[in-house]
Amino acid sequence: MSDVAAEAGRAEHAHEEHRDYEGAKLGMWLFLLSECMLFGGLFVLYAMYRADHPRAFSAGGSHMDAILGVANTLVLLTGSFAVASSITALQRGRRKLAMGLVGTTILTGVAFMIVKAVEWSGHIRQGYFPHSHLLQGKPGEQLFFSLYYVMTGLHGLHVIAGIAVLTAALILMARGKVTQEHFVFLENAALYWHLVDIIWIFLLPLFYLAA
Amino acid sequence: MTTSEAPPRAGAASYLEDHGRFSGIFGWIFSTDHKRIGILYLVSTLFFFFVGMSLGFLMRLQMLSPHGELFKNADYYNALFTLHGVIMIFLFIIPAVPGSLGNFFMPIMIGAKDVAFPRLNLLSWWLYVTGAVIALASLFGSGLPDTGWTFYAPYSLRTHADIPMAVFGVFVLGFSSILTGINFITTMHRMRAPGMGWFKMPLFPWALYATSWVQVLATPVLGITMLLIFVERIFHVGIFNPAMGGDPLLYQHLFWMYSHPAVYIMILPAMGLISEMIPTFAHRTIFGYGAIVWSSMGIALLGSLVWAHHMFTSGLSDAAATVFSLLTFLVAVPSAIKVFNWTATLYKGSIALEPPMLYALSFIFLFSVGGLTGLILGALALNVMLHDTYFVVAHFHYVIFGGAAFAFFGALHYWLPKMFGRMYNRSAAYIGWALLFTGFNLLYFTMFVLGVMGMPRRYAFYLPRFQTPQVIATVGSWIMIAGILVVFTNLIVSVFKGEKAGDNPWGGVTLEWQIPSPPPTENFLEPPTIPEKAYDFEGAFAS
Amino acid sequence: MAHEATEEIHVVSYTTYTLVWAALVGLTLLLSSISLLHMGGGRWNSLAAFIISPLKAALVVFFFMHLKYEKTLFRIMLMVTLCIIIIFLGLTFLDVALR
Ligand code: HEM
Ligand SMILES: [Cu+2]
Repeated sequence: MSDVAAEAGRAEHAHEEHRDYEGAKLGMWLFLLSECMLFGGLFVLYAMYRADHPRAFSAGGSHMDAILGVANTLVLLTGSFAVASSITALQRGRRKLAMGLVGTTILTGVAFMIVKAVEWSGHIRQGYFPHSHLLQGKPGEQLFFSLYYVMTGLHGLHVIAGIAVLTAALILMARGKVTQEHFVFLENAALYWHLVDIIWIFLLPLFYLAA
Repeated sequence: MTTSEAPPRAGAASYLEDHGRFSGIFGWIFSTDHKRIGILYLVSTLFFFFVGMSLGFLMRLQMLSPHGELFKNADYYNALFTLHGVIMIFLFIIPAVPGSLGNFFMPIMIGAKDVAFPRLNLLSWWLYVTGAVIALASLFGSGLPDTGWTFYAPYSLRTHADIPMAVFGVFVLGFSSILTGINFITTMHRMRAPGMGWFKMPLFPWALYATSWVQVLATPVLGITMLLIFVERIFHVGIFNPAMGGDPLLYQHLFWMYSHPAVYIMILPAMGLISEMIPTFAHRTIFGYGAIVWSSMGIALLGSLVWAHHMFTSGLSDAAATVFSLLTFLVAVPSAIKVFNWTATLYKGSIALEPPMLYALSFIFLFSVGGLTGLILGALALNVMLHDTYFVVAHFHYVIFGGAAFAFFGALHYWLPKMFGRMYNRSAAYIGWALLFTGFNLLYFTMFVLGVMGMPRRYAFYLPRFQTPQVIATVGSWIMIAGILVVFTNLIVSVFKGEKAGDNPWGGVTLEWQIPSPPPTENFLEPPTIPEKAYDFEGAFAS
Repeated sequence: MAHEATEEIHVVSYTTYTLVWAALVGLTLLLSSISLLHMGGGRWNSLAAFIISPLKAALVVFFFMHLKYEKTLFRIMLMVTLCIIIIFLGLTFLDVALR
């Protein structure tokens, strides 16, 4: 607690244009924690249903394309790496490089979504969706696929949001609003992207490696 | 006692006067000034309180006779209690105190100019309005709402009512609440005036700090639960639907993982308000400052571990029921600590029975009744008998109405002179309080009795043997509503026509009393003097 | 009017990031080969997932998200959140498993 109190002493009184680097990051972290709880609710559901239907979940997992899942993980990890490095680049004053790295991350996001779309449409074509007659009378697998669509779907929405935020960061960098001195927007955008990455790190074993 | 000698200096335009880009109504609804946003929340939450109150009034009318005084069709009663519940919970009591008084006073009390993210703050209010509109628009969908405010699956997956719209509205409201929480936590970490250490912070900001954590960490669980109902209805996935393997009890788990902590979102800020009013009107330093702070944090934490006490009769496992019952008893401890601290503060105080103090004292009484009956409900055996009876309805009205809303009304009497620079008519305030308090107890205490007699909640009709107490309760509701009308007529009239109140009519020692009433846009014209410790009445009187 | 640069900031080197990235890729491949090749007859499958995934997440949080260089406050906040999720899991399981 003591360093918190000390830091408060430093907290300068608000000026007309209030910029608080620490504060901005704190706000972003709080938001990410609330995102964790959002997904936390889903993880609770997953755990309980899997405890109830261990075999059906394993059967459900065998319908997943693990290779695509792993490939997509590597894509996301690389994107995270790029956006993390872009902060270093910007801090060192290499704006072009930073913009290139953010652009790379955006591309990995788009690639991820394309793979996702291929996967989903494949499953739906084969009849693996919750109320399809293929799964009729198999409650465990219905649950597995319901959770699969909901969790990867919500994650996909977050990827799209992340792409939007990173695009905004890119534009702000191009316009000179996000700079070597004021990079917190980029840093927060990156934080968001990393969260999206972390959630996927958990989704991979829960669905793709569940067999 | 009053120290209003300093005349307003030049340039000290109050926040009520227009300045900035917009004027008139736009100057308000697009303002990022935390005080104006506070007033926006005040007006909108009170508006919904009155809507909810009217629905409650109708429900009580229906209960005048066993076969229904108003309508013979139970669907209308179902719609009434659903709407009443949704409005009172999501549109009134959850946003009311943090949104209005929290926004207005927390930054001032910690010596800040505004919250950390003013624009996000405005966005919160807009999301609140949007969520309210969406939730209410569900009324005009496919059928009357009939799920209760709890939206329990599997019924909510089947009913004709426009559930997807309603739960989406609740989701948006939750988002608004989360943003407020994030804003407040950041504000208290980053914006305290130099010298305002954590343990010099007044207790209302502290209470909001604890509340904000609950808002940030519990509300998303509600968000996901509502989203799941939404996708289940729209895309026919099966998460809670037993026909597709789902477990409806898991819906209840997730729902109460938020909604029990939500009770603390309602009551913690209210407790903070009580901790402000009691020292001021007892003219005495609060007893056990540290204990109150830590019990707030303790309540916030323990409060997230008791949710399944709402599910004792649902078929929960025995082991879980036992553990949750035990935890429920534990959470009473920090609440009791606070009650002891407030009463200890009164001891040897020089008590001024001003209107706000009457509310604070009634809070202690009503909240204790609500809390103690909560223990009765938390006991497994008794719960089987009392579950879903009027006993429960009485219990939670004692806690959230007698507790949270009474504190809110009291604080309006406490801070109205600060917010608008005007004083209300005290006799009218006393009369209003007396009616409200009498009617309240007549209405809800009778409901305890009805509950023990076996009257189930959410029923539109009842057996003739319940009629006498039902009539008594309804008469109580009339007295109570008359009181509410007196209270608010008085307050609203005073905002426009009241006598000028000084800068510090009550002799308070927290920072908001150091600045002019109504506060200037900048809050502090010069850096505030931070007292040696919070609630230092000796120091204040010595100087 | 603080420049972000005037407050203490820690510039993480590209080398660190590259190493972390390599570790993440390595762990991913390890995890997937354990479960896809049924190493140990599938017995290690969930155990591996239980250990490796949090490890990967920790790498991202500590290095990519700079938690290693942040104030203690941030770590406490994260810990509290994780504890709450674990408690939610545990208490719900108490019902579901023993019902
Ligand atoms: C203003 C006067 C009020 C009256 C006359 C009133 C009356 C009632 C009545 C008659 C019921 C239904 C009992 C049943 O059949 O189950 C009810 C339910 C409820 N009330 Fe109130 N109440 C009032 C204020 C409040 C306040 C201030 C709150 C919260 C801040 C509140 C929250 C609730 C909730 C959550 C329910 C449960 C709804 C449900 O069953 O889904 N009420 N109230
Ligand atoms: Cu509860």
